[in-house]
Amino acid sequence: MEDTKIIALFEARSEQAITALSTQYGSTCAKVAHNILGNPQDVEECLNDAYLAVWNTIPPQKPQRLLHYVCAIVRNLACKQYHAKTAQKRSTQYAVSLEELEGCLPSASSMERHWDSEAIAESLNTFLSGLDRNHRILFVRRYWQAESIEALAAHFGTSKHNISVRLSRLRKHLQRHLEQEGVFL
Amino acid sequence: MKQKQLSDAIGKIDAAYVEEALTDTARKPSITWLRRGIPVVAAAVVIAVVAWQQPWNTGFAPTIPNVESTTDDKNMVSVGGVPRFYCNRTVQTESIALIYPWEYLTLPEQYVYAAFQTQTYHIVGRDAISDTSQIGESLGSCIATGTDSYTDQTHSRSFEVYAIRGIATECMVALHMDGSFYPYAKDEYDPPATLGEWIEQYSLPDYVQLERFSQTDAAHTAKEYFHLSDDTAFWEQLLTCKDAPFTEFDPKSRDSVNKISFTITSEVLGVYKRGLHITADGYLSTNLMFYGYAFYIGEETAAELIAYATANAEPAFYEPYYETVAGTLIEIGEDYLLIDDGILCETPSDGMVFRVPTTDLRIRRTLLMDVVTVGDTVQLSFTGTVDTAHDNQIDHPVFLQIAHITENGELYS
Repeated sequence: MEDTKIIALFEARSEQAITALSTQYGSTCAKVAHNILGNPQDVEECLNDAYLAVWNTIPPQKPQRLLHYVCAIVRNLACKQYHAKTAQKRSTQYAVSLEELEGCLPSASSMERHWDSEAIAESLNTFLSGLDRNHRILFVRRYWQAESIEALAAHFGTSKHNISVRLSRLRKHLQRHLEQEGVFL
Repeated sequence: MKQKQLSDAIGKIDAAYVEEALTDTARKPSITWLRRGIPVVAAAVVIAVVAWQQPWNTGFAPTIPNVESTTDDKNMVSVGGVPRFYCNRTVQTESIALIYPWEYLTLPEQYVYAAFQTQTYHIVGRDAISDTSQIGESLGSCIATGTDSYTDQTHSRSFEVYAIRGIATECMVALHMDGSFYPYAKDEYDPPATLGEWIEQYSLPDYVQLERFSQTDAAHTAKEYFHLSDDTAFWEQLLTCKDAPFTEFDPKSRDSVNKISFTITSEVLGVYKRGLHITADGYLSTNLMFYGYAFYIGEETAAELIAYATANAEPAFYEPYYETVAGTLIEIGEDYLLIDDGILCETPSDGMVFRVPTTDLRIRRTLLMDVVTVGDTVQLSFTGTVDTAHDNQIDHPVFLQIAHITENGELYS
Protein backbone atom coordinates (compact mmCIF):
# COMPACT_ATOMS: atom_id res chain seq x y z
CA MET A 1 0.00 0.00 0.00
CA GLU A 2 1.26 3.48 -0.81
CA ASP A 3 2.33 5.80 1.98
CA THR A 4 -0.35 8.32 1.14
CA LYS A 5 -3.06 5.68 1.56
CA ILE A 6 -1.69 4.56 4.90
CA ILE A 7 -1.52 8.15 6.09
CA ALA A 8 -5.08 8.68 4.89
CA LEU A 9 -6.16 5.72 7.07
CA PHE A 10 -4.48 7.34 10.08
CA GLU A 11 -6.17 10.63 9.31
CA ALA A 12 -9.51 8.86 9.07
CA ARG A 13 -8.76 7.26 12.47
CA SER A 14 -9.27 3.87 10.85
CA GLU A 15 -8.20 0.87 12.87
CA GLN A 16 -6.76 -0.58 9.67
CA ALA A 17 -4.09 2.10 9.71
CA ILE A 18 -1.82 0.33 12.15
CA THR A 19 -2.33 -3.01 10.41
CA ALA A 20 -1.42 -1.43 7.10
CA LEU A 21 1.61 0.28 8.60
CA SER A 22 2.72 -2.93 10.24
CA THR A 23 2.25 -4.93 7.04
CA GLN A 24 4.14 -2.41 4.97
CA TYR A 25 7.03 -1.54 7.27
CA GLY A 26 6.76 -3.88 10.27
CA SER A 27 9.69 -6.09 9.34
CA THR A 28 12.03 -3.13 8.75
CA CYS A 29 10.94 -1.58 12.04
CA ALA A 30 11.43 -4.88 13.85
CA LYS A 31 14.92 -5.21 12.41
CA VAL A 32 15.89 -1.73 13.62
CA ALA A 33 14.47 -2.40 17.09
CA HIS A 34 16.08 -5.82 17.29
CA ASN A 35 19.51 -4.48 16.35
CA ILE A 36 19.30 -2.07 19.26
CA LEU A 37 17.50 -4.12 21.88
CA GLY A 38 18.40 -7.67 20.95
CA ASN A 39 15.49 -9.13 22.85
CA PRO A 40 12.20 -10.27 21.22
CA GLN A 41 10.01 -9.14 24.14
CA ASP A 42 11.56 -5.67 24.17
CA VAL A 43 11.23 -5.46 20.40
CA GLU A 44 7.54 -6.25 20.51
CA GLU A 45 6.96 -3.70 23.26
CA CYS A 46 8.95 -1.10 21.35
CA LEU A 47 6.97 -1.67 18.14
CA ASN A 48 3.65 -1.40 19.96
CA ASP A 49 4.77 1.87 21.53
CA ALA A 50 5.98 3.13 18.15
CA TYR A 51 2.70 2.31 16.39
CA LEU A 52 0.82 4.05 19.18
CA ALA A 53 3.11 7.08 18.79
CA VAL A 54 2.38 7.15 15.06
CA TRP A 55 -1.34 6.90 15.81
CA ASN A 56 -1.07 9.81 18.26
CA THR A 57 0.94 12.04 15.94
CA ILE A 58 -0.73 11.47 12.56
CA PRO A 59 -2.67 13.74 12.35
CA PRO A 60 -1.58 16.51 12.85
CA GLN A 61 1.75 15.32 11.38
CA LYS A 62 1.77 14.34 7.71
CA PRO A 63 5.19 12.84 7.12
CA GLN A 64 6.64 12.99 3.64
CA ARG A 65 8.63 9.84 4.26
CA LEU A 66 6.53 7.44 6.27
CA LEU A 67 9.18 4.73 6.42
CA HIS A 68 11.72 7.10 7.90
CA TYR A 69 9.09 8.59 10.18
CA VAL A 70 8.10 5.30 11.77
CA CYS A 71 11.64 3.90 11.83
CA ALA A 72 12.93 7.06 13.50
CA ILE A 73 10.28 6.67 16.20
CA VAL A 74 11.20 3.03 16.62
CA ARG A 75 14.88 3.91 16.88
CA ASN A 76 14.27 6.69 19.40
CA LEU A 77 12.10 4.49 21.59
CA ALA A 78 14.51 1.58 21.35
CA CYS A 79 17.48 3.81 22.23
CA LYS A 80 15.60 5.27 25.20
CA GLN A 81 14.68 1.81 26.39
CA TYR A 82 18.24 0.63 25.89
CA HIS A 83 19.79 3.51 27.83
CA ALA A 84 17.18 3.31 30.57
CA LYS A 85 17.65 -0.37 31.13
CA THR A 86 21.37 -0.65 30.82
CA ALA A 87 23.83 1.26 32.90
CA GLN A 88 26.37 -0.91 31.17
CA LYS A 89 26.30 -2.18 27.65
CA ARG A 90 24.99 -5.47 26.47
CA SER A 91 26.33 -7.04 23.34
CA THR A 92 23.66 -5.79 20.95
CA GLN A 93 24.66 -4.58 17.52
CA TYR A 94 23.68 -1.10 18.68
CA ALA A 95 26.22 -1.19 21.52
CA VAL A 96 28.95 -2.49 19.25
CA SER A 97 28.25 0.03 16.50
CA LEU A 98 28.19 2.93 18.98
CA GLU A 99 31.50 1.89 20.46
CA GLU A 100 33.01 1.76 17.00
CA LEU A 101 31.97 5.33 16.36
CA GLU A 102 32.83 6.62 19.80
CA GLY A 103 36.52 6.40 18.96
CA CYS A 104 35.99 8.89 16.13
CA LEU A 105 35.00 11.65 18.54
CA PRO A 106 37.81 13.24 20.47
CA SER A 107 36.98 14.38 24.00
CA ALA A 108 36.78 18.07 24.59
CA SER A 109 39.26 19.77 26.86
CA SER A 110 37.99 22.62 28.99
CA MET A 111 39.03 25.12 26.32
CA GLU A 112 37.12 23.46 23.54
CA ARG A 113 33.52 23.91 22.58
CA HIS A 114 31.16 21.13 23.55
CA TRP A 115 28.93 20.22 20.66
CA ASP A 116 25.31 19.32 21.04
CA SER A 117 23.74 16.47 19.16
CA GLU A 118 22.07 18.81 16.62
CA ALA A 119 25.42 20.28 15.66
CA ILE A 120 27.06 16.88 15.46
CA ALA A 121 24.19 15.62 13.29
CA GLU A 122 24.76 18.59 10.99
CA SER A 123 28.42 17.71 10.72
CA LEU A 124 27.50 14.08 10.06
CA ASN A 125 25.18 15.19 7.25
CA THR A 126 28.01 17.12 5.64
CA PHE A 127 30.19 14.05 5.94
CA LEU A 128 27.50 11.80 4.43
CA SER A 129 26.86 14.19 1.56
CA GLY A 130 30.49 13.78 0.53
CA LEU A 131 30.33 9.98 0.37
CA ASP A 132 29.39 7.92 -2.64
CA ARG A 133 25.99 6.24 -2.40
CA ASN A 134 27.27 2.78 -1.44
CA HIS A 135 29.43 4.06 1.38
CA ARG A 136 26.67 6.32 2.61
CA ILE A 137 24.24 3.43 2.72
CA LEU A 138 26.80 1.27 4.45
CA PHE A 139 27.38 3.95 7.09
CA VAL A 140 23.68 4.53 7.75
CA ARG A 141 22.82 0.83 7.86
CA ARG A 142 25.62 0.22 10.35
CA TYR A 143 25.31 3.24 12.61
CA TRP A 144 21.70 4.34 12.26
CA GLN A 145 20.11 0.93 11.84
CA ALA A 146 22.81 -0.84 13.91
CA GLU A 147 22.89 -3.67 11.38
CA SER A 148 25.36 -6.47 12.06
CA ILE A 149 28.53 -6.98 10.03
CA GLU A 150 27.12 -10.29 8.87
CA ALA A 151 23.86 -8.76 7.69
CA LEU A 152 25.76 -5.99 5.91
CA ALA A 153 27.98 -8.53 4.18
CA ALA A 154 24.88 -10.36 2.98
CA HIS A 155 23.25 -7.13 1.87
CA PHE A 156 26.24 -5.90 -0.10
CA GLY A 157 27.06 -9.36 -1.45
CA THR A 158 30.58 -9.32 -0.12
CA SER A 159 32.65 -10.76 2.69
CA LYS A 160 32.47 -9.75 6.32
CA HIS A 161 36.13 -8.87 6.18
CA ASN A 162 35.48 -6.52 3.28
CA ILE A 163 32.67 -4.81 5.20
CA SER A 164 34.81 -4.53 8.26
CA VAL A 165 37.66 -2.93 6.33
CA ARG A 166 35.30 -0.53 4.57
CA LEU A 167 33.76 0.52 7.88
CA SER A 168 37.16 0.99 9.41
CA ARG A 169 38.15 3.32 6.55
CA LEU A 170 34.86 5.18 6.86
CA ARG A 171 35.48 5.74 10.55
CA LYS A 172 38.97 7.08 9.88
CA HIS A 173 37.52 9.34 7.21
CA LEU A 174 34.84 10.51 9.66
CA GLN A 175 37.41 11.11 12.37
CA ARG A 176 39.41 13.37 10.05
CA HIS A 177 36.24 15.18 9.06
CA LEU A 178 35.18 15.75 12.67
CA GLU A 179 38.63 16.91 13.65
CA GLN A 180 38.64 19.38 10.78
CA GLU A 181 35.28 20.68 11.90
CA GLY A 182 36.48 20.85 15.51
CA VAL A 183 33.75 18.53 16.80
CA PHE A 184 34.38 17.42 20.34
CA LEU A 185 32.26 15.63 22.92
CA MET B 1 27.09 10.11 28.13
CA LYS B 2 29.28 10.35 25.06
CA GLN B 3 27.53 7.31 23.60
CA LYS B 4 24.12 8.71 24.39
CA GLN B 5 24.98 12.03 22.73
CA LEU B 6 26.44 10.21 19.77
CA SER B 7 23.34 8.06 19.49
CA ASP B 8 21.15 11.16 19.57
CA ALA B 9 23.24 12.80 16.84
CA ILE B 10 23.11 9.72 14.62
CA GLY B 11 19.36 9.64 15.13
CA LYS B 12 19.11 13.13 13.69
CA ILE B 13 20.87 12.59 10.39
CA ASP B 14 19.02 13.60 7.27
CA ALA B 15 15.83 11.60 6.65
CA ALA B 16 16.74 11.28 2.98
CA TYR B 17 19.91 9.38 3.83
CA VAL B 18 18.06 7.11 6.23
CA GLU B 19 15.35 6.34 3.71
CA GLU B 20 17.95 5.73 1.03
CA ALA B 21 19.52 3.10 3.26
CA LEU B 22 16.24 1.60 4.46
CA THR B 23 14.94 1.08 0.94
CA ASP B 24 18.20 -0.04 -0.62
CA THR B 25 17.92 -3.46 -2.22
CA ALA B 26 20.40 -6.23 -1.51
CA ARG B 27 23.27 -6.69 -3.96
CA LYS B 28 24.23 -9.93 -5.62
CA PRO B 29 27.41 -11.51 -4.27
CA SER B 30 30.47 -10.29 -6.11
CA ILE B 31 32.02 -12.77 -8.54
CA THR B 32 35.50 -12.35 -7.17
CA TRP B 33 34.34 -13.33 -3.73
CA LEU B 34 32.46 -16.36 -4.99
CA ARG B 35 35.48 -17.49 -6.97
CA ARG B 36 37.66 -17.20 -3.95
CA GLY B 37 35.20 -19.18 -1.90
CA ILE B 38 34.92 -18.71 1.81
CA PRO B 39 38.01 -19.87 3.63
CA VAL B 40 37.54 -20.99 7.17
CA VAL B 41 39.19 -17.93 8.61
CA ALA B 42 36.79 -15.64 6.79
CA ALA B 43 33.89 -17.33 8.50
CA ALA B 44 34.69 -15.36 11.59
CA VAL B 45 32.70 -12.19 11.93
CA VAL B 46 35.00 -9.25 12.42
CA ILE B 47 33.85 -6.58 14.79
CA ALA B 48 35.72 -3.55 15.86
CA VAL B 49 35.39 -3.66 19.60
CA VAL B 50 36.13 -6.32 22.16
CA ALA B 51 33.16 -6.35 24.51
CA TRP B 52 35.06 -7.25 27.64
CA GLN B 53 37.68 -4.60 27.03
CA GLN B 54 35.21 -1.98 28.21
CA PRO B 55 33.19 -3.73 30.83
CA TRP B 56 31.55 -0.52 31.85
CA ASN B 57 30.69 2.64 30.08
CA THR B 58 29.26 4.95 32.67
CA GLY B 59 32.26 7.18 32.66
CA PHE B 60 34.63 6.26 35.43
CA ALA B 61 36.18 2.98 34.43
CA PRO B 62 39.44 2.74 36.29
CA THR B 63 41.31 0.53 33.90
CA ILE B 64 41.82 0.42 30.19
CA PRO B 65 43.05 -2.64 28.33
CA ASN B 66 46.67 -2.62 27.44
CA VAL B 67 46.30 -2.87 23.68
CA GLU B 68 49.31 -0.78 22.87
CA SER B 69 52.63 -0.59 24.61
CA THR B 70 55.66 1.45 23.74
CA THR B 71 59.17 0.61 24.78
CA ASP B 72 61.78 3.28 25.28
CA ASP B 73 65.24 2.83 23.87
CA LYS B 74 66.56 -0.39 25.44
CA ASN B 75 64.25 0.13 28.36
CA MET B 76 63.36 -2.56 30.77
CA VAL B 77 59.85 -3.87 30.34
CA SER B 78 58.12 -6.32 32.61
CA VAL B 79 56.53 -9.31 30.89
CA GLY B 80 54.51 -10.99 33.60
CA GLY B 81 57.21 -10.08 36.11
CA VAL B 82 60.12 -11.11 33.86
CA PRO B 83 62.37 -8.15 32.99
CA ARG B 84 62.99 -7.78 29.28
CA PHE B 85 65.17 -5.24 27.51
CA TYR B 86 63.50 -3.98 24.37
CA CYS B 87 64.49 -1.28 21.94
CA ASN B 88 62.27 1.57 20.86
CA ARG B 89 59.54 -0.22 18.95
CA THR B 90 55.81 0.03 19.28
CA VAL B 91 53.46 -2.93 19.42
CA GLN B 92 50.02 -2.29 18.02
CA THR B 93 47.40 -4.99 17.93
CA GLU B 94 44.76 -5.02 15.24
CA SER B 95 41.76 -3.31 16.79
CA ILE B 96 39.45 -6.12 15.85
CA ALA B 97 38.05 -9.10 17.63
CA LEU B 98 36.48 -12.21 16.29
CA ILE B 99 33.12 -13.69 16.99
CA TYR B 100 33.60 -17.41 16.71
CA PRO B 101 31.22 -19.99 15.33
CA TRP B 102 29.02 -21.70 17.88
CA GLU B 103 31.19 -24.83 18.04
CA TYR B 104 34.24 -22.77 18.98
CA LEU B 105 32.57 -21.19 21.98
CA THR B 106 32.85 -22.50 25.52
CA LEU B 107 29.60 -23.49 27.23
CA PRO B 108 29.27 -20.23 29.21
CA GLU B 109 30.03 -18.27 26.06
CA GLN B 110 27.29 -20.18 24.24
CA TYR B 111 24.62 -20.03 26.93
CA VAL B 112 24.79 -16.47 28.17
CA TYR B 113 21.31 -16.29 29.69
CA ALA B 114 19.71 -18.59 32.22
CA ALA B 115 16.05 -18.51 33.18
CA PHE B 116 15.49 -19.87 36.66
CA GLN B 117 12.26 -19.55 38.62
CA THR B 118 11.06 -16.03 37.82
CA GLN B 119 14.44 -14.53 37.13
CA THR B 120 16.85 -14.17 34.23
CA TYR B 121 20.54 -14.43 34.94
CA HIS B 122 23.49 -13.50 32.73
CA ILE B 123 26.90 -15.14 32.63
CA VAL B 124 29.53 -13.06 34.41
CA GLY B 125 33.25 -13.38 34.04
CA ARG B 126 35.01 -15.86 31.80
CA ASP B 127 36.31 -18.46 34.21
CA ALA B 128 34.81 -21.23 36.30
CA ILE B 129 34.78 -20.94 40.08
CA SER B 130 37.84 -22.96 41.03
CA ASP B 131 37.13 -23.02 44.77
CA THR B 132 34.14 -25.36 44.72
CA SER B 133 33.80 -25.13 48.51
CA GLN B 134 31.98 -21.87 47.80
CA ILE B 135 29.25 -23.75 45.95
CA GLY B 136 26.14 -24.30 48.05
CA GLU B 137 23.10 -26.51 47.69
CA SER B 138 21.44 -27.54 44.45
CA LEU B 139 18.41 -25.38 43.65
CA GLY B 140 17.03 -27.29 40.69
CA SER B 141 17.50 -26.94 36.99
CA CYS B 142 17.20 -24.03 34.60
CA ILE B 143 16.96 -23.44 30.89
CA ALA B 144 19.95 -21.55 29.56
CA THR B 145 19.83 -19.95 26.14
CA GLY B 146 22.22 -18.42 23.66
CA THR B 147 22.22 -17.29 20.05
CA ASP B 148 24.53 -18.46 17.31
CA SER B 149 25.73 -15.20 15.74
CA TYR B 150 26.28 -16.95 12.43
CA THR B 151 22.87 -18.42 11.95
CA ASP B 152 20.80 -16.32 14.38
CA GLN B 153 19.59 -19.64 15.73
CA THR B 154 18.72 -19.68 19.41
CA HIS B 155 19.94 -22.68 21.37
CA SER B 156 18.69 -23.78 24.74
CA ARG B 157 19.86 -26.38 27.19
CA SER B 158 19.12 -27.44 30.72
CA PHE B 159 21.71 -27.08 33.49
CA GLU B 160 21.71 -27.67 37.24
CA VAL B 161 21.58 -24.50 39.32
CA TYR B 162 23.48 -24.13 42.59
CA ALA B 163 23.53 -21.47 45.27
CA ILE B 164 26.79 -19.68 46.00
CA ARG B 165 27.53 -19.62 49.72
CA GLY B 166 26.50 -16.35 51.33
CA ILE B 167 25.10 -14.81 48.16
CA ALA B 168 21.38 -14.20 47.75
CA THR B 169 20.10 -16.54 45.06
CA GLU B 170 17.99 -13.79 43.52
CA CYS B 171 21.27 -11.96 42.85
CA MET B 172 23.62 -14.72 41.74
CA VAL B 173 23.71 -18.46 41.18
CA ALA B 174 26.19 -20.94 39.74
CA LEU B 175 25.42 -23.17 36.77
CA HIS B 176 26.99 -26.59 36.62
CA MET B 177 28.39 -26.95 33.12
CA ASP B 178 30.57 -29.77 31.96
CA GLY B 179 31.94 -30.44 35.45
CA SER B 180 32.59 -26.81 36.36
CA PHE B 181 30.60 -24.10 38.09
CA TYR B 182 30.12 -20.74 36.38
CA PRO B 183 28.70 -17.62 38.06
CA TYR B 184 25.52 -16.10 36.62
CA ALA B 185 24.12 -12.82 37.94
CA LYS B 186 20.74 -11.15 37.86
CA ASP B 187 20.29 -9.47 34.52
CA GLU B 188 18.60 -6.26 35.52
CA TYR B 189 19.32 -2.90 37.04
CA ASP B 190 17.96 -3.22 40.53
CA PRO B 191 19.91 -1.03 42.92
CA PRO B 192 19.77 -1.86 46.62
CA ALA B 193 18.36 0.72 49.00
CA THR B 194 21.46 0.92 51.16
CA LEU B 195 25.13 0.03 51.19
CA GLY B 196 24.47 -2.59 53.85
CA GLU B 197 21.88 -4.31 51.70
CA TRP B 198 24.30 -4.43 48.77
CA ILE B 199 27.17 -5.79 50.88
CA GLU B 200 24.90 -8.44 52.34
CA GLN B 201 23.38 -9.53 49.04
CA TYR B 202 26.78 -10.49 47.66
CA SER B 203 28.54 -11.28 50.93
CA LEU B 204 31.20 -8.88 49.75
CA PRO B 205 33.71 -9.09 52.61
CA ASP B 206 33.95 -12.84 51.86
CA TYR B 207 34.54 -12.46 48.16
CA VAL B 208 36.16 -9.07 47.67
CA GLN B 209 39.66 -8.31 48.79
CA LEU B 210 40.31 -4.60 48.90
CA GLU B 211 43.96 -4.89 48.11
CA ARG B 212 45.26 -2.73 45.31
CA PHE B 213 44.22 0.87 44.96
CA SER B 214 45.27 4.13 43.43
CA GLN B 215 44.92 7.62 44.83
CA THR B 216 44.09 10.52 42.57
CA ASP B 217 43.97 14.17 43.49
CA ALA B 218 41.23 16.50 42.35
CA ALA B 219 43.30 18.02 39.57
CA HIS B 220 44.38 14.58 38.30
CA THR B 221 47.97 15.80 38.48
CA ALA B 222 49.14 12.84 40.52
CA LYS B 223 48.15 9.20 40.69
CA GLU B 224 49.86 6.88 43.10
CA TYR B 225 49.45 3.14 43.52
CA PHE B 226 49.23 1.26 46.80
CA HIS B 227 48.90 -2.25 48.17
CA LEU B 228 46.83 -2.85 51.31
CA SER B 229 47.81 -6.18 52.82
CA ASP B 230 44.94 -6.45 55.31
CA ASP B 231 41.50 -5.06 54.50
CA THR B 232 39.73 -6.29 57.66
CA ALA B 233 39.64 -2.91 59.39
CA PHE B 234 38.62 -1.23 56.14
CA TRP B 235 35.61 -3.52 55.79
CA GLU B 236 34.73 -3.02 59.46
CA GLN B 237 34.73 0.70 58.89
CA LEU B 238 32.58 0.32 55.79
CA LEU B 239 30.12 -1.83 57.69
CA THR B 240 29.58 0.99 60.19
CA CYS B 241 27.78 2.90 57.46
CA LYS B 242 25.41 0.15 56.38
CA ASP B 243 22.60 2.68 56.22
CA ALA B 244 24.36 4.77 53.57
CA PRO B 245 21.62 5.33 50.99
CA PHE B 246 21.88 4.39 47.32
CA THR B 247 22.10 7.50 45.22
CA GLU B 248 21.85 8.28 41.54
CA PHE B 249 24.64 10.46 40.37
CA ASP B 250 26.63 11.41 37.35
CA PRO B 251 30.01 9.66 37.67
CA LYS B 252 31.70 12.46 35.78
CA SER B 253 30.82 14.86 38.58
CA ARG B 254 33.09 12.77 40.81
CA ASP B 255 36.05 13.24 38.49
CA SER B 256 37.20 16.43 40.13
CA VAL B 257 37.47 15.27 43.72
CA ASN B 258 40.17 13.48 45.66
CA LYS B 259 39.55 9.76 45.67
CA ILE B 260 40.97 6.33 46.15
CA SER B 261 40.06 3.62 43.66
CA PHE B 262 40.35 -0.06 44.47
CA THR B 263 40.81 -2.57 41.68
CA ILE B 264 38.79 -5.67 42.40
CA THR B 265 39.00 -9.16 40.96
CA SER B 266 36.83 -11.99 42.25
CA GLU B 267 36.40 -15.35 40.58
CA VAL B 268 33.24 -16.17 42.54
CA LEU B 269 31.60 -12.87 41.61
CA GLY B 270 32.89 -13.25 38.05
CA VAL B 271 34.56 -9.84 38.01
CA TYR B 272 37.99 -8.87 36.76
CA LYS B 273 39.60 -5.57 37.68
CA ARG B 274 36.45 -3.65 38.45
CA GLY B 275 36.53 -0.39 40.39
CA LEU B 276 35.36 0.72 43.82
CA HIS B 277 35.94 4.36 44.59
CA ILE B 278 35.79 6.37 47.79
CA THR B 279 35.58 10.06 47.04
CA ALA B 280 36.44 12.88 49.43
CA ASP B 281 32.98 14.40 48.99
CA GLY B 282 31.45 11.39 50.69
CA TYR B 283 30.54 8.81 48.07
CA LEU B 284 31.29 5.16 47.54
CA SER B 285 30.80 4.35 43.89
CA THR B 286 31.42 1.13 42.06
CA ASN B 287 30.83 -0.88 38.93
CA LEU B 288 31.56 -4.09 40.77
CA MET B 289 28.28 -5.82 40.04
CA PHE B 290 27.94 -4.75 36.40
CA TYR B 291 25.91 -1.60 36.93
CA GLY B 292 26.96 1.76 38.28
CA TYR B 293 26.01 1.99 41.95
CA ALA B 294 26.80 4.80 44.37
CA PHE B 295 26.11 5.29 48.07
CA TYR B 296 26.45 8.41 50.14
CA ILE B 297 28.61 7.47 53.12
CA GLY B 298 29.31 11.03 54.24
CA GLU B 299 32.42 13.14 53.98
CA GLU B 300 33.64 12.23 57.44
CA THR B 301 33.56 8.47 56.84
CA ALA B 302 35.07 8.88 53.41
CA ALA B 303 37.92 10.91 54.86
CA GLU B 304 38.52 8.25 57.52
CA LEU B 305 38.55 5.46 54.96
CA ILE B 306 40.93 7.31 52.67
CA ALA B 307 43.20 8.16 55.59
CA TYR B 308 43.17 4.57 56.85
CA ALA B 309 43.94 3.08 53.46
CA THR B 310 46.78 5.42 52.62
CA ALA B 311 48.30 5.16 56.10
CA ASN B 312 48.31 1.37 56.12
CA ALA B 313 49.25 0.56 52.55
CA GLU B 314 52.60 0.13 50.89
CA PRO B 315 53.51 1.91 47.67
CA ALA B 316 53.03 -0.34 44.66
CA PHE B 317 53.62 -0.29 40.93
CA TYR B 318 51.00 0.25 38.27
CA GLU B 319 49.53 -2.98 36.95
CA PRO B 320 48.15 -3.12 33.41
CA TYR B 321 44.69 -4.48 32.76
CA TYR B 322 46.28 -7.47 31.08
CA GLU B 323 49.91 -8.55 30.97
CA THR B 324 51.13 -8.91 27.41
CA VAL B 325 53.95 -10.46 25.46
CA ALA B 326 54.55 -9.76 21.78
CA GLY B 327 56.79 -11.47 19.29
CA THR B 328 56.94 -13.98 16.49
CA LEU B 329 54.88 -17.13 16.61
CA ILE B 330 57.63 -19.67 15.95
CA GLU B 331 56.01 -23.01 16.67
CA ILE B 332 52.59 -24.56 17.13
CA GLY B 333 52.64 -27.88 18.94
CA GLU B 334 49.98 -30.36 20.03
CA ASP B 335 48.99 -28.41 23.12
CA TYR B 336 51.22 -25.37 23.10
CA LEU B 337 52.62 -22.57 20.99
CA LEU B 338 55.89 -20.68 21.24
CA ILE B 339 56.37 -16.92 20.96
CA ASP B 340 59.85 -15.45 20.50
CA ASP B 341 60.13 -11.77 21.51
CA GLY B 342 63.46 -11.28 19.66
CA ILE B 343 61.77 -8.92 17.24
CA LEU B 344 61.58 -6.35 20.03
CA CYS B 345 65.23 -6.75 21.05
CA GLU B 346 68.12 -4.89 19.48
CA THR B 347 69.69 -8.25 18.64
CA PRO B 348 67.03 -10.79 17.66
CA SER B 349 69.08 -13.61 19.16
CA ASP B 350 68.52 -11.98 22.57
CA GLY B 351 64.88 -12.97 22.27
CA MET B 352 63.23 -15.07 24.93
CA VAL B 353 60.88 -17.86 23.93
CA PHE B 354 57.60 -18.07 25.85
CA ARG B 355 55.52 -21.22 25.93
CA VAL B 356 51.77 -20.78 25.85
CA PRO B 357 49.47 -23.71 26.64
CA THR B 358 46.70 -24.08 24.06
CA THR B 359 44.49 -26.50 25.95
CA ASP B 360 41.99 -23.73 26.67
CA LEU B 361 39.55 -23.47 23.77
CA ARG B 362 39.71 -19.68 23.95
CA ILE B 363 43.31 -19.82 22.77
CA ARG B 364 43.10 -23.02 20.72
CA ARG B 365 40.30 -21.72 18.50
CA THR B 366 42.59 -18.93 17.30
CA LEU B 367 44.78 -21.67 15.84
CA LEU B 368 41.92 -23.89 14.69
CA MET B 369 40.53 -21.06 12.62
CA ASP B 370 43.93 -20.04 11.23
CA VAL B 371 43.60 -16.57 12.70
CA VAL B 372 47.30 -16.82 13.45
CA THR B 373 49.94 -19.10 12.03
CA VAL B 374 53.64 -19.76 12.36
CA GLY B 375 55.65 -16.71 11.32
CA ASP B 376 53.00 -14.16 12.31
CA THR B 377 53.75 -11.34 14.69
CA VAL B 378 51.37 -11.75 17.58
CA GLN B 379 50.54 -10.36 20.98
CA LEU B 380 49.30 -12.56 23.77
CA SER B 381 47.34 -11.08 26.66
CA PHE B 382 47.37 -13.00 29.91
CA THR B 383 46.41 -12.61 33.54
CA GLY B 384 48.88 -14.99 35.17
CA THR B 385 52.64 -15.12 35.48
CA VAL B 386 55.61 -16.46 33.56
CA ASP B 387 57.15 -19.60 35.02
CA THR B 388 60.83 -19.17 34.19
CA ALA B 389 61.62 -22.55 35.73
CA HIS B 390 59.41 -24.35 33.21
CA ASP B 391 60.15 -23.15 29.66
CA ASN B 392 58.83 -19.65 30.44
CA GLN B 393 55.34 -21.06 30.49
CA ILE B 394 52.62 -18.43 30.65
CA ASP B 395 49.69 -18.98 33.00
CA HIS B 396 46.15 -17.98 32.16
CA PRO B 397 46.44 -16.78 28.59
CA VAL B 398 43.37 -14.74 27.68
CA PHE B 399 43.59 -14.04 23.97
CA LEU B 400 45.99 -14.00 21.09
CA GLN B 401 45.95 -11.31 18.44
CA ILE B 402 47.83 -10.40 15.30
CA ALA B 403 50.16 -7.50 16.06
CA HIS B 404 52.18 -5.00 14.09
CA ILE B 405 55.46 -3.60 15.25
CA THR B 406 56.52 -0.15 14.20
CA GLU B 407 59.76 1.72 14.62
CA ASN B 408 59.96 5.49 14.22
CA GLY B 409 56.49 5.45 12.79
CA GLU B 410 57.29 2.87 10.11
CA LEU B 411 56.10 -0.68 9.97
CA TYR B 412 58.84 -2.93 11.26
CA SER B 413 56.94 -6.20 11.13
